[in-house]
Amino acid sequence: MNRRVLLLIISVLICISALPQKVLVEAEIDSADIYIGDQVKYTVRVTQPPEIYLDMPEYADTLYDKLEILSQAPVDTTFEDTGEMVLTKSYTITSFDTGYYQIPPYYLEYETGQGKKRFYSEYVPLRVKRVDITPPDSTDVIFDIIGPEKIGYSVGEILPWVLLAVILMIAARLIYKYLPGRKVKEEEEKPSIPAEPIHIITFRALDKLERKQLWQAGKVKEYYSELTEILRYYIEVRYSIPALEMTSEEILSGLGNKDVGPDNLSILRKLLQNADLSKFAKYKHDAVTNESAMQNARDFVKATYKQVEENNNCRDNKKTLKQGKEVDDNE
Amino acid sequence: MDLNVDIKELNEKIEKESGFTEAITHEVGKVIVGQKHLVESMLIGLLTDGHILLEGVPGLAKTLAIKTLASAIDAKFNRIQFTPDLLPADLLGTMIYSQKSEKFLVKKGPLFANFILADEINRSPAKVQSALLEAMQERQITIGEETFKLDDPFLVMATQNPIEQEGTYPLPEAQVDRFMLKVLIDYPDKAEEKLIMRENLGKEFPVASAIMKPGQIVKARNLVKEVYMDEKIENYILDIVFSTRNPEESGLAKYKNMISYGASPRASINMALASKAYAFIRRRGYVIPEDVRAVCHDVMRHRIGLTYEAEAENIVQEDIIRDILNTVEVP
Repeated sequence: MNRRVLLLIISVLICISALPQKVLVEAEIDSADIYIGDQVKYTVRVTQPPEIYLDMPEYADTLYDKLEILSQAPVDTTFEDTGEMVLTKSYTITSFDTGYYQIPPYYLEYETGQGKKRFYSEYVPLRVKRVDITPPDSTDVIFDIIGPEKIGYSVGEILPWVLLAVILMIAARLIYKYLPGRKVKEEEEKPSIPAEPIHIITFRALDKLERKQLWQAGKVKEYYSELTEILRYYIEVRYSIPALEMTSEEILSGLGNKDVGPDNLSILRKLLQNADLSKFAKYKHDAVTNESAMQNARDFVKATYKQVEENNNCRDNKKTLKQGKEVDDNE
Repeated sequence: MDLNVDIKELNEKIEKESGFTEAITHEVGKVIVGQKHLVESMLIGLLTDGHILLEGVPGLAKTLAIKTLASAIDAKFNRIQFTPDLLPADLLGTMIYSQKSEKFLVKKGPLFANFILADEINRSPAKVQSALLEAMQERQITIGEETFKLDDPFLVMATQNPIEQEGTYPLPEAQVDRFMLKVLIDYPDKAEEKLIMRENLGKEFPVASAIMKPGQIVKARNLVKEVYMDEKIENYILDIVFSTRNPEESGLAKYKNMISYGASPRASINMALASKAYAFIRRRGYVIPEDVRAVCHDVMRHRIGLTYEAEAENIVQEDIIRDILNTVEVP
């Protein structure tokens, strides 16, 4: 009997002494160095056999000294592959007093029957520092109010603005490109300059019209319509005035400023007037007038293209003379 | 039938019969200094049985012009000042009870005249405007159970006040369309204003004397209708009018989003009529493109609707018409 009792006591003592040795309490903090008022997470991790029950201390609002608890998460229980149970408890803490703190060991209690046994973690150091805006000892010095400290921008903050700017630039470019007025401006083409001199083209067109023998076939209106169209195109290219969209009077007044010469203007006036009569008043001119209209058109083109060439030659001569004079002066 | 002789005859006939237009212009010119365009427009209105909408700042002799024209034609003239409290009966007339005859008698309103100046038509509410516009269209007025034909010629010249927009009732597009021409009048130049000053400071203000009877105008209208208009001119008018409806087809894509509605068929009709009248005033028996271009602005400017985009870009009807005339090929 005594032997059995002794064995039981020995086995119980062995159990008691062996179990607590498997309990491991670890405490850690996210950052050991924080600014005043910064929040930091203090986590306690307890590894223990699942069959025992450990009492966890309860903190209301202060962890230690001037370290305040802002919030605490409920205990999270997980199991290791080895079968050990892991309890995790975390606290969000802060401090509004600068200094060095040694957070005392976190402990858990175990009821042994003969009393309580505690399992401790290590000390956890924490430095709460102030923003370095005034000298450390500023008790007797009065400082002006310091504005909020400027902090640098992060990529995450800048990126949306950069993207917005790029989008706006693309949109502005597209609007500019497809703006109705601009589109038309781009589409507007300068009158195409024919490869051949315009008087050659005009003479050829007049010859072709003559060969058609329109007025001889009674198509006087068509004859004058084509004749004036050829001439108006010639005037448009030669003098850069929109003659095709102008009336006879407008063409004549437009040419008034173009150094065409009174004789040529007079020829053109007569021709256009006769053409207008035929085109708009069903007027049938006699054969002589019809023939002379063609001749007048040729004369006008001949005289005006020669005049332009003479003007160009004259300009070239003047240029040569000027250059020659400059050479003489230099010599 | 020899068409050539027809036109010649017509030309001669018109040259002979249209002399009165110069006489009227001369007579009106004795009183009105400058404003030749206004006088010409009034003549076009008279010769085509159309009405005129005038726009211009006060004090530009609008009333004097129409009054003088009425005197020159020996016609009855009435001026109606449109006010916000005007009633249709104030224009048309009403039935009044005669105690003497114990009957309701018709009291005709001021619209019973040959020439009406409807001053500041946009100051009156819609019901009064439509009473006037209906009378203009129908050429008759019904008072009670009796319908009265209006005198012939019957020309309404309505003015709009462009300065003051407060308390005005702008004419709806459909009603503006009923005016054949919308004429803009501007300030006289310095030389003209000097003459105006002298005339007004003189002892006697010049007066126009009656040189013809209203019946002669009615006869002349038939002659105006006889003025020859070639198919080329008809097509030219159509090209211009259609350019306001489909500007992109005429190479004016920049106005595609600027025009909310283009000119109505009334524009084509009135442009043809006005061109004939213009040719008549120029003592010609046929219409040439110059005639079309001369009346185009007055016929079209109130018949083109602009969009908000056009208003934002300060584009006005004048710009569109000018560009159309510079783009559409002249026959």
